[in-house]
Amino acid sequence: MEAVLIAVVLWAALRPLMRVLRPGGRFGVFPEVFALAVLVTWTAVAVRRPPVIEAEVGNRPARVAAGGYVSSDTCADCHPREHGSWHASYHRTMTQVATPATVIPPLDGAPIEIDGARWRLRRRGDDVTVEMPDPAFRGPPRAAPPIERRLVMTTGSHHEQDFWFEDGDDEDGDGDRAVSHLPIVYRIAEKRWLPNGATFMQPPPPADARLGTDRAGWNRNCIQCHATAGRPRFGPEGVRTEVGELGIACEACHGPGAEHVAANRDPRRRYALHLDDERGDPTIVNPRRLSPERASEVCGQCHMVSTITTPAAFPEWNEHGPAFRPGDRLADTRDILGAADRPDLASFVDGRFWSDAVVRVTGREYHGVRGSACAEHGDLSCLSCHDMHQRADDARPPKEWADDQLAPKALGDGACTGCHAAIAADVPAHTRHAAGSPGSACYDCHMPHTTWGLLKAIRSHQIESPSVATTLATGRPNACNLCHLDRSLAWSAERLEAWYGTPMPALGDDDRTHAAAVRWIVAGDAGQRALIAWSMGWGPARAASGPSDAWMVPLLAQALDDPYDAVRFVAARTLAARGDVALGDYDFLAPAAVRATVRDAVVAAEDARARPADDAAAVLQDAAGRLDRAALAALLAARDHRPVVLKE
Amino acid sequence: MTPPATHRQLVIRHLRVGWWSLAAFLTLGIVLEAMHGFKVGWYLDLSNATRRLLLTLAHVHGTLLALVHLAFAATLGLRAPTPLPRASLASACLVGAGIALPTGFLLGGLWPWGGDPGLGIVLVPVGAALLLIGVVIVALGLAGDA
Repeated sequence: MEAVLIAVVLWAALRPLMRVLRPGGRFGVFPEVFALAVLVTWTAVAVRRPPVIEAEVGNRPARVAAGGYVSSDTCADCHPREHGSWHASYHRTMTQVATPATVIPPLDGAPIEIDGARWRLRRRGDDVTVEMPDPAFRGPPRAAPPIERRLVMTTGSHHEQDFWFEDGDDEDGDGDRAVSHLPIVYRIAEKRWLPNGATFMQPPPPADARLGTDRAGWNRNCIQCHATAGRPRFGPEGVRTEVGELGIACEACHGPGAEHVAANRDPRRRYALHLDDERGDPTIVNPRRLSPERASEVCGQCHMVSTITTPAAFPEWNEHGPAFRPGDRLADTRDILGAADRPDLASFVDGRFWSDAVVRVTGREYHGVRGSACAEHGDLSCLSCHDMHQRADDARPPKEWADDQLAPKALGDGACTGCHAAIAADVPAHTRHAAGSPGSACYDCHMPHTTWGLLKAIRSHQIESPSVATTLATGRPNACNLCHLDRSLAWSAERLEAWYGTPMPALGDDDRTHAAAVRWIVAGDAGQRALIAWSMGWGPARAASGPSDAWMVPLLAQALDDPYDAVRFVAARTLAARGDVALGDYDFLAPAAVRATVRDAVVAAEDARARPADDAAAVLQDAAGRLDRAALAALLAARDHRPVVLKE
Repeated sequence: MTPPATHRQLVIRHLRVGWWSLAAFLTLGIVLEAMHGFKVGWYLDLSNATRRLLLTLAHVHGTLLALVHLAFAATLGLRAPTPLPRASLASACLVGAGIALPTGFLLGGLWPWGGDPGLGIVLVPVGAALLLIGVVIVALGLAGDA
């Protein structure tokens, strides 16, 4: 139609001109021929590159606006600044259609070999394909015959990128939108591929088990938070998944926009709202106008351990998507889970919490926020510290803001001192640390790095005061000992008692003789070991842990041969960043014998340097500054071997 | 503005207005080009697309309306078929349009509300109406003129 119209208009435009220019008639039927050529060319181009019609997409979840959702493209027309900052955020890119532009790793067809199996990513026109071990093969992936599938979606673009390949049963040709997880994950900073199982904190899997995949796992699980208005639509005819939008878009936080769009087509209404900034628009949810609890629950719909898939709710959710709308009470439509709340979901919940129900994994921060005194007795919400849209006066580059979407005031102590003005007036009197030092930073004492995810330690969002008693009861490292890595629990307890009157808990001999961090990295559970391996690379902790922190090196070396992939990964990264020793060709996925060789070499190299700490025994050094192997063996014998699963 | 006594005064008025408008809005164009050259975020950022559009429209409308003034002057200079009162009315409309249209876009772009222009945009329909009236008067004055 478009081509015909253009051809007709072109003909009409050229015809009078030809009449003037054709006194001898030498142009003949030129206008007609020219217009016909345009028509033919246009049609050929259109046929060769047909536009993608989302509703007809058959090999991945289709983006189909329904249920009052209109998509972020519509929002952009009136809210370009907000759309722009969202566009720069990692929320937007949480899920994307896989194209050469969105896939981060190289598409050069080079072999990616892990555990004896092989993958190759290639560009095929505008598509991305993967040559992979046939997922239908019953046996180890390394023995599976290779097949080529299209990669259809990506997850993530910040720390790592996951991929989804088409896996629908499309024999009937009407499109089964099941997608399955590529069992290898691309780490962006390290520019390397890892088996998916190695990117989580979990017990070492059996051989070949960490390369498994889960057919339609995205359609069933990830869709809940990695898409906007996702509708799984599993049915007897197959998987017909639809989403309002891939990724976390405007309407995930503001609710469906159709009514808002329709109402604001009237310019009088828009200008009335512009002129009365205090008046909200009732046709859309602005989380900043909600109560702190309701506002945080907008984030909590994803940033909590919760489920909507209760048996009663499943059919409705399967067909129409989540019932929660921003502004609703979250508990009305979701089961908010804590430790041991739902035995039927034990595998989903277990390990995600410390024993006192403080969340232990990242990505579920609202548990911490709502459990904090600042939220229980004050107005703390997620938006107290985080800006979902970068402010106009925030001078940081958008990508820097997008790293954690912190408000400028929350980059320092401003988020706390707004309420705690008395403390802000004389910070050292409260902290007993020098003003401006890490020990006087609110976050370092009240939000220490005790949660885990994305292969790193992350600040807890449960705002609490350091407590050795809590550490003893739960195993959660306290802020004092996460910074003063060379000090014992007794040392911390004495200072907390002297400075704040915190009652001294009952302490054992080990709590007095060994540095707490030393015990955690050697004898703690895998989660504790990883937290300390990370903390030993954290600048403030290194600076606060003795005149020399060289004593950490042999202990990090032990973690190079830890049973858990994640612990080895973070220990190697810390050692490499510190630069104390050369790790050579160490690879955390190398066989145990190779890893042990590197471990022993690092310890031997550090022994040769013999750099004694102040309190050598506390950090497992002998008098000469070498690793005290007997003390190490004793601690290793007491290691907590409970399986730890920390999946964000 | 004193009512013109003759067609010639009208011609001179529109030559002045036209050339000065052209100078002003070409200057605005240079300013906009400079903002492109120096990558000024206030003008170029994606989130300022509304401002960029409106300032561009101000430049374009201002420049084109300046040319309309010159064309009107030329029309009157070539021949003055329209009675003076009607020509004066057309002149007033065109001068009003030359002020209201580009200025409306300019003000709307200086202080936009997200995807909506600032309140100055109310000048634009006024200017558009004046322009239409002025052009129709001139066109009618030439109707049937071979």
